Amino acid sequence: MEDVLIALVIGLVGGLAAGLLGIGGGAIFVPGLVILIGTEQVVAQGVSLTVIIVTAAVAAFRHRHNRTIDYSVARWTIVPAVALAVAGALVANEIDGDILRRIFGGMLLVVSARMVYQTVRTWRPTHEPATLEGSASDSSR
Amino acid sequence: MIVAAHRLALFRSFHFRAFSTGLIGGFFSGLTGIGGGTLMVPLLTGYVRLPQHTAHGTSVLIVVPIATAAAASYIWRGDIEWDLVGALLGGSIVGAYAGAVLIMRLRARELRLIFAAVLIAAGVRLLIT
Repeated sequence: MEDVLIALVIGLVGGLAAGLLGIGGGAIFVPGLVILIGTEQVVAQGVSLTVIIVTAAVAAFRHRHNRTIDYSVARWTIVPAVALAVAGALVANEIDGDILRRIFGGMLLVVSARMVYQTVRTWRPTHEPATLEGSASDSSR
Repeated sequence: MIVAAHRLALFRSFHFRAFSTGLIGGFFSGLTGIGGGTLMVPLLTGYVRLPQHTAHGTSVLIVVPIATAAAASYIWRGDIEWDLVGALLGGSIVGAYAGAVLIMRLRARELRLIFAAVLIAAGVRLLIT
């Protein structure tokens, strides 16, 4: 019973991350399940991915209403993404997972440090529209 | 930017940028189990040049088929516990909808800082485990 409540809370937090941040929520589901409930790592990943299908679909449904989905980008992204996701899963079975995870962790730190730096550097204390930043000046789309 | 656009039109084209974002996001997704969105959102804003909110919305749509392909292999091998799936879904469906409503109340830079904070937490955890 207690586990069900913990799982509900993990689900809620991961779901929020999915809707708000555009990530699946696996970054929250997997450690949540492993650390708080004691699920085996590989089962936690399987459960997480299955939950993400529905979670991301619900978030996307609402984003459609928000008009915050660019379908012309999605059309060109989905096919290579699915193909390489399968390829990546096959490669992952062949090589040492620990090294992989560390490389990926380092990469995330570099990406996030860059994001913080750019956000702070371009900080303007004015009341500009929320969607103006990030669209930059590129008009090639 | 205008000068650079003359060089290698193919590599600067919008379709190429979207396509390679899919390649990178998909590959690391399959490789690490997480990472579809964590890499795709920064690529969609910095490389494809989508506005911040649209990058998050587009990313979560791309995550659906990626997760479906990846989950299939776990379910096939039996690495799944359906009771846990049900319990997590109870919370996550509510959370996902709330998050996608809440996003419209945040400014781009606030969104970017929250996203960066989650990336830092995920990155540190991956490094120490």
